[in-house]
Amino acid sequence: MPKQYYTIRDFSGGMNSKQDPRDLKENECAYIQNMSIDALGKIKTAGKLYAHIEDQDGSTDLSEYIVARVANLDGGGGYGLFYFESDHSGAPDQAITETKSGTALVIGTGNGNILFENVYSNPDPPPTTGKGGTAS
Amino acid sequence: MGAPLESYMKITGGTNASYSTIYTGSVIKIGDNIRVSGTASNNGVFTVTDISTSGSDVYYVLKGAGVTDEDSAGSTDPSINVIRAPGDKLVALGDVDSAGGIDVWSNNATTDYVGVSPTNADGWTESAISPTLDGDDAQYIFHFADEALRVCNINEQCTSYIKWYGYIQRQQFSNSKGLVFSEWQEHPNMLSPPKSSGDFSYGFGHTNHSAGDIARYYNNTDNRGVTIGKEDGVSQLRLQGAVNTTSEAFVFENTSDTAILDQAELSELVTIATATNIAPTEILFCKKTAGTGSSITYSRSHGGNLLGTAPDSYLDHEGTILTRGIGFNIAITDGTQDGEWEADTYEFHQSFIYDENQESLPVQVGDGEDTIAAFTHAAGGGKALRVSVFADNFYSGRISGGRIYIRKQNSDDDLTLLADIHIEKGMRTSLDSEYDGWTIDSNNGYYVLGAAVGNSTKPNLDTYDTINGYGPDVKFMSIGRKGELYKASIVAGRRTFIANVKTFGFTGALEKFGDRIMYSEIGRFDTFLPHNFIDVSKGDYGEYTALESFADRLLAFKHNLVHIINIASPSPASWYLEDTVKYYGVTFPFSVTRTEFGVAWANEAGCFLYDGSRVRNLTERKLGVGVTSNTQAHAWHKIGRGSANVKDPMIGYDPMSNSLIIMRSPRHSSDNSEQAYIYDFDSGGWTYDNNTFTDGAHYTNFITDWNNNLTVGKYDGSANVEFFKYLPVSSADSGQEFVTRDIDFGQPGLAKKIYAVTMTYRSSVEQQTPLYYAINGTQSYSSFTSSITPQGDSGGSGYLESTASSGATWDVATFTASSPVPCQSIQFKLDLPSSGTFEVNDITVEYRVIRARAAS
Repeated sequence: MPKQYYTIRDFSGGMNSKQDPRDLKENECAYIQNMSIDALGKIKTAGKLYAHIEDQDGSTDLSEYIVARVANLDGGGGYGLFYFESDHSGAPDQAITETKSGTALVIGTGNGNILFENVYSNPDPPPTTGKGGTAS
Repeated sequence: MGAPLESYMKITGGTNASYSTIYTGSVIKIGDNIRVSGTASNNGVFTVTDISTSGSDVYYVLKGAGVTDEDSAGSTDPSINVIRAPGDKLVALGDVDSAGGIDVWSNNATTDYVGVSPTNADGWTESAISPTLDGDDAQYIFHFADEALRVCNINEQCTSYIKWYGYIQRQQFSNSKGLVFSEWQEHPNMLSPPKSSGDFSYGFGHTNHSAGDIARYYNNTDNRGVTIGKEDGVSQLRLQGAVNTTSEAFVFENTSDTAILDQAELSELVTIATATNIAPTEILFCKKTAGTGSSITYSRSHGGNLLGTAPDSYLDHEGTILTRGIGFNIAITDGTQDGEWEADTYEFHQSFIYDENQESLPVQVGDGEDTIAAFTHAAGGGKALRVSVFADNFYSGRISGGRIYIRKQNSDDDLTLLADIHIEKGMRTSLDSEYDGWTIDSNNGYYVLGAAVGNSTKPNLDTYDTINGYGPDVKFMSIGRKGELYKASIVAGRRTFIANVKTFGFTGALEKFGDRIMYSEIGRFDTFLPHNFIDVSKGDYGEYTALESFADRLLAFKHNLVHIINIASPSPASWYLEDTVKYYGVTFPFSVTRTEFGVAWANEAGCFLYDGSRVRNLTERKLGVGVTSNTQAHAWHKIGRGSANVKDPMIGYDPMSNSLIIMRSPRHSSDNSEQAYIYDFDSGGWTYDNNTFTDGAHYTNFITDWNNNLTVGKYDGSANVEFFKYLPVSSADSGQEFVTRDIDFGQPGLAKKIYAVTMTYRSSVEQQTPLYYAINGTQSYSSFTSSITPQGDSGGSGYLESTASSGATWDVATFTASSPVPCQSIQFKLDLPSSGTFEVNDITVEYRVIRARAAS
């Protein structure tokens, strides 16, 4: 008989430890350890857990990621983590206490001061200029 | 542009950066909310609806709280907090130690991802939620609905509360002196009624519709009213020890110097050293009661800095410790105009409203006397009723209002709505009328006075029952008292489902209902009524361990079965048990996950998927459960049970790789807890893994982050919990191996000879004798040592060369045995001893069938 060639080129069936190795399908293996079949047509080194900073390629650093935290999980494994999104920010409000660097915010009428005006109690608007305004 | 024709805040000369950089730096933008404090008349939250300039002046048009003319500097400088709502990514992480509580991470708050300087730049808020009073090994589960997170510690050995953590934006009484909230707050999950003693509220009724007197709010003689002083049987309480401006630990005592720690309630507001009619300098918020500890934890400067001085410091023995906002006082008389109220004697009830839509049970209004009794009003008949409401200055942040109800004294009539109170808008006497706004009464409180003619001409059609859908006589309507808990929760169909409930509610004693599922009212995620439960089966050994939902089905897991309940109907009466799947239960909630294809879970019998119509066993005909057909393979039950038979496999779904990952034990309750199986939905194939996880480490449950990556926290005994994501990206590692099927070349009865094996591969490192073979199903392997090409440059004979470009280039390897291998069947094993990356594209076997010879 001439020599023949038998080729395995599909590993997508993954491992089968249930059936006898001789009865497996063409694309199945009897065992796969630390290798991946997610790339169809080949078998390759498996993925793993990467630091949360990593992008999908596993090598590019993301600008936003969950920062490590001092905490203890011993005794509470399998619990304790939750991700949620909100319209509202968890960041502290931006506080404005200065009208410019080194100058406190003050109520008044001088330059840089703030004031509040209820126009409904002052039906005559303040003097205005410019487009659409009425100079007086 | 001129000055706007709507109320505004103006920065004079604001376009000139030499005067102000607020406008030139775009610090305030259209759409922002700003919280103003430190002014005489304009403290509050406003929305900036427009920004315009006129000359060099800048105008910010403000909506929301009323704007009052103000252009003179006061005693304190103002400050403006810009509240922008761009959305945020948030993570809650529970510490198992009771002192740790739950830290919350905000992406927006993270200014330094390395977390070096300052220390809070890493975005974490320490102990943002404090459910646990006493005990360690906390096990927190969460659900999130309508902008609020609910947290429950399911470890029954701990003493804890169920907590609510949500964003509150509210300016109480729409007044510059009211508490201003625009922040995340924690509160108990309980929807407590106004505080009462016996059957009657501390908030009381009277007949005086005038303001200007503290007596409308508080009975100083008998300590009754909208606020009360803390006291015990000995005396009014006072502070034990001085407290500086930063400490959160407070101890109260009586005049016998005995520490009194049981007078605090979670989420209460307290003021110290200021009388009821004096403006306090600081509001304290009870974050954590004492438990078995030695102090009560109060957050400082709650709701703002009030007079501009908070936080305050307190001296030893300072007294007048007031619990604020515990109810409402009412004044009731007959109005002068005609009405339809019958001549009779009436009693009154009051409730709190939480989150705008969840109403507490009502409590009957007291008379304000020491021997507290019912407040009643004898109506003359044929007249309107005059109804006034008196409120304290401060209420807990989650309270959005309250209601006053009326019915004939000692009757069983429905409680008819008399007054609807909104903490910002005021009071109205029917649900379809306009609110009459609050008026501040110096430092006494706030009031809404009914007109002398009467503001309620006839009984409303609305009652407590019609408004809420249930009666006021239910035993309970929320869960979250100290010690109450549930073991599983899920939000589905605008309801919260909780299971395996431990509550005082049904019997008055803390009792566990392990096989009970309770559900909330629609859209009221914390309102749990006694009759809102499902007992699918009772006494069948086992309590619920996990809940999940998919395709209008609720999957309720016990350790030995799964109930599939159809909850498609908005009416619970139409829900029904669709199926009970025996033997497929789980022991822990982290053994269940939801995928785009359905709900997946793992136990010792396999990995299962419910796709909305049936349960499939993903391991069926794939993985050996009890025994395996390959000597190297790990039987599934070992993953499912662990070496200690704890049965705590953890499952996660990674949307990016479309795969399930099942690890042996996130709690390290097993030997080799790092062992895992991975299921690829695209191919339907399984692989084994022991490189992804670390034996001995402790892992959180899985989450899916904002990039759709499966993410987990890892604790290895060092100080930090580090976060990781699963990526299907090959990473250099050792222990890679695969074994082919036992190949008989389609002619099992004939003998063959194997001459060579070629393999298209790429490798980042040289590998020594990577390929083995076993013949005739023996699984006893021999190596191809005589000829491996290309031969490794470094290792020499017996080594397979790495491929070019650090393993990025493909090459073809040839393995030849010292002599042709005679066999009936042959199995190949690739076993890579060195750490590296490796890929195999194909394997070709050169063989010859020995036709004349049958296999022997």
